[in-house]
Amino acid sequence: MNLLSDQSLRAYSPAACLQGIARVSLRLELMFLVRVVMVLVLTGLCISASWAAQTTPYKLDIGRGGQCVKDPQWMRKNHMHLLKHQRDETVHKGIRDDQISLKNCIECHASLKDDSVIARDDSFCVACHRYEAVKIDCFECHSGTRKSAWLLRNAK
Amino acid sequence: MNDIHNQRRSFLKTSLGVAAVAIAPGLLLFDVAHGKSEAVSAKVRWGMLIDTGNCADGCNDCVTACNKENGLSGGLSPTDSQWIRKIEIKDISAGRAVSLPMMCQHCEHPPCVDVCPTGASFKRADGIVLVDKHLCIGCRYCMMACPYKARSFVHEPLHDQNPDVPRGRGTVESCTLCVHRIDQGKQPACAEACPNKSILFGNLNDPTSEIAMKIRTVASTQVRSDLGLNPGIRYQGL
Amino acid sequence: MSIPSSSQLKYASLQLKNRLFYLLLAAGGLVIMAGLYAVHMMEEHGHIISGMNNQIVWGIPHVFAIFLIVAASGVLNVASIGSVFGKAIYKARAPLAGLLSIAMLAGGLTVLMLDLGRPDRIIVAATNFNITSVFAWNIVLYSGMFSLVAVYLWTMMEQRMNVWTKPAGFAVFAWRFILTTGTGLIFAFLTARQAYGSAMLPPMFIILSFAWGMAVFHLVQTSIYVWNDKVLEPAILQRKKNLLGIFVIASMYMVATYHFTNLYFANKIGFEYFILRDGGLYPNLFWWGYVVLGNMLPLLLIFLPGLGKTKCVMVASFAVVLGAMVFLYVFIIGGQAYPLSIFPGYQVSSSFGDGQIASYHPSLYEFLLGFAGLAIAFIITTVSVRVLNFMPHDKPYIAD
Repeated sequence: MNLLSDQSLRAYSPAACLQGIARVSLRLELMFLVRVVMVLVLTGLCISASWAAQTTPYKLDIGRGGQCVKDPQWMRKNHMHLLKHQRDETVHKGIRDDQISLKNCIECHASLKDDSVIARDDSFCVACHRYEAVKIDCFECHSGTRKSAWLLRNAK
Repeated sequence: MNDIHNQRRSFLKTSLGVAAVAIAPGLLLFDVAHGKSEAVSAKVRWGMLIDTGNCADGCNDCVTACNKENGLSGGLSPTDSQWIRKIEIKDISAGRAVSLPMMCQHCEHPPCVDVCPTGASFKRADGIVLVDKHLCIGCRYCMMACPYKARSFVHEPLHDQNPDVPRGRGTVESCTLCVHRIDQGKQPACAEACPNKSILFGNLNDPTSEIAMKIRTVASTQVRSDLGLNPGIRYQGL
Repeated sequence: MSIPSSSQLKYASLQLKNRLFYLLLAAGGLVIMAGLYAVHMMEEHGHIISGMNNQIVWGIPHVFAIFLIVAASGVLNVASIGSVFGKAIYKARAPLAGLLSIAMLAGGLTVLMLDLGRPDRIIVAATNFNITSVFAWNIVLYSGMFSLVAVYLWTMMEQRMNVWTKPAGFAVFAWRFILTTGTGLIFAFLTARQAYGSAMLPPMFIILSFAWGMAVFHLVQTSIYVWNDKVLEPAILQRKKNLLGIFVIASMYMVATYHFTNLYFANKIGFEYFILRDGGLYPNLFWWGYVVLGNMLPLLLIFLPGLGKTKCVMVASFAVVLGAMVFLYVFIIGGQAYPLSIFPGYQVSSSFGDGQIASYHPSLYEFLLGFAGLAIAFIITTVSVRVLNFMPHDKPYIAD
């Protein structure tokens, strides 16, 4: 008898049983409420996300722009994989694919005002990366300037 | 039993066939996309033959051309990068003086590649020794290991680099043999700039190339050949 | 006014020690903060603000880091003598030795890592592994050492694991030999430099580690005894100081042999003259700092009749540590200052320091980073000794 604790004894009394049922039903109700709230929040998030995808909340200078590799939505999601793959191919194997080289990206996407993808807050790379809070160190080494413009400037 | 086996087999066959048909265009497209550029191969070994007899004492044109091509400041402080430098040497006992350019010797067995912990230092198939700055962590072990003191460490943040020559703070760099020019079929900047045509650039593996023919006929030496590194840069008249 | 009872006195001293402990922690923390500030500045401005340059590529941070790493391996000697060779007085000290090893390894590696040109990319060192690089081997050796010593400590401090202490001790014993070999190989593999590229270096570093580790152990052990108001039994001190003396003699032998072999190779004579006779600062540091302060003085303090008391051993150990730093300065910086022989037999000059002795003026930032490494080791030790039982517990002394 000593082995049974006070609590386990109480749990078998009829009153305690009723109390327990009441508690369970309350708990179920609460869980239902939580689920409803979660569904609401999730739909809200989805709606706002799709809204955000359509309208960028920041100003973006896309330079000459245009589409040469894939559509913008695909590029937004995957440009880093392309760049990284191409970087290894180029550096180690000397494969210089003109189309997906960083230089080629910059050639079209550098601002028409200052020939750069990084010079201003709304420059092509800066604006989006700042908004997404993704820090890149590409331009510590790579030039962010359109090559044709750089060559013109350094012709002398 | 056999029937089932046969059925299974034919099913596998057809599905494989369908899969192949489905994938093939993709593969072809992939090929087309990469079509005009292919990886460098070990059939080529780029090298140089430097004629020290022609190299003028006090002439610095190769250094200037290198600095301009690769966007180096040209500063001479111990923290400034120098990819190529002129060395004046004088035989201690005989007294003969020679002037010559010294840069990365693009060894066949480069010590910098052996010691690099991350594989950032590497040798391209065509014999050019490079630093992959995406992998370089800036430990400077390669600088300790290089017998030619050919490497420099970027001590300061850089701005406005040449779009063809990415360089940046905290990484080690050295002569790339103007790899960006070689890949366009051009000569390294120093070879082009030499007023006396003392720097002969070419493919050591091609017996008909000018450099290979000249190496066969004139006496040339590799610097510190005792180390057995087989540099791609050779010197004539040393 | 009542006279304070003994328990009251004890309480007061305990309170004082509590305060002192937090004061020490704060001091160590401050030094670490200063080191992090130096790292931040080097990140911001590049290595230009350090004294290092394209001729002297490794500087003061490497002196501190290599000292800490070599001593971390050497201090395990105490543990090995206990666990592998079964000597009771060393066995009682094995946990403390293990702790010191982990602490110093952590300090040394932090310095090494934060001195990188791109410390933000340190993860690349784990993802991209060059099998031929002795640096890459060392990454494995260091992390292996951490885990092995941690397991070793666990087998000693958890009673149910005690049966495993001996195998763990053996593993640590073997590992630390390989680790210090690896440290020596970093220099031994530099074939082109006159100062390095010698097969003498790995064994030399192993013997040096014995002396440096023992010296650090003495310093820490004495401090802990004082802190706990205990007195180390003179017989134990006697044995351990004699061992330190023997290690110092052995390390002198190794260093002498290294220089002797170099003197015998005609192409290395120039370097030996530079480092031992003509090199200005470097010979002075070598003879006065390393030989006299780091070896002669400790040997006198240990073996001269009438000396060899606790205080003498403390001073001797401190001198060994200082001598170690001086030795590494001469070895690492002096070794790079001597010009590479690219054209043997020629007089050489260029704009890139060819044929010239390179100059090096260490900056404050480098020292801040180095001392931060020491402070990390200090903090790890201080906190661990306080929260866990690392105090050596000696049975009544029996010579074994």
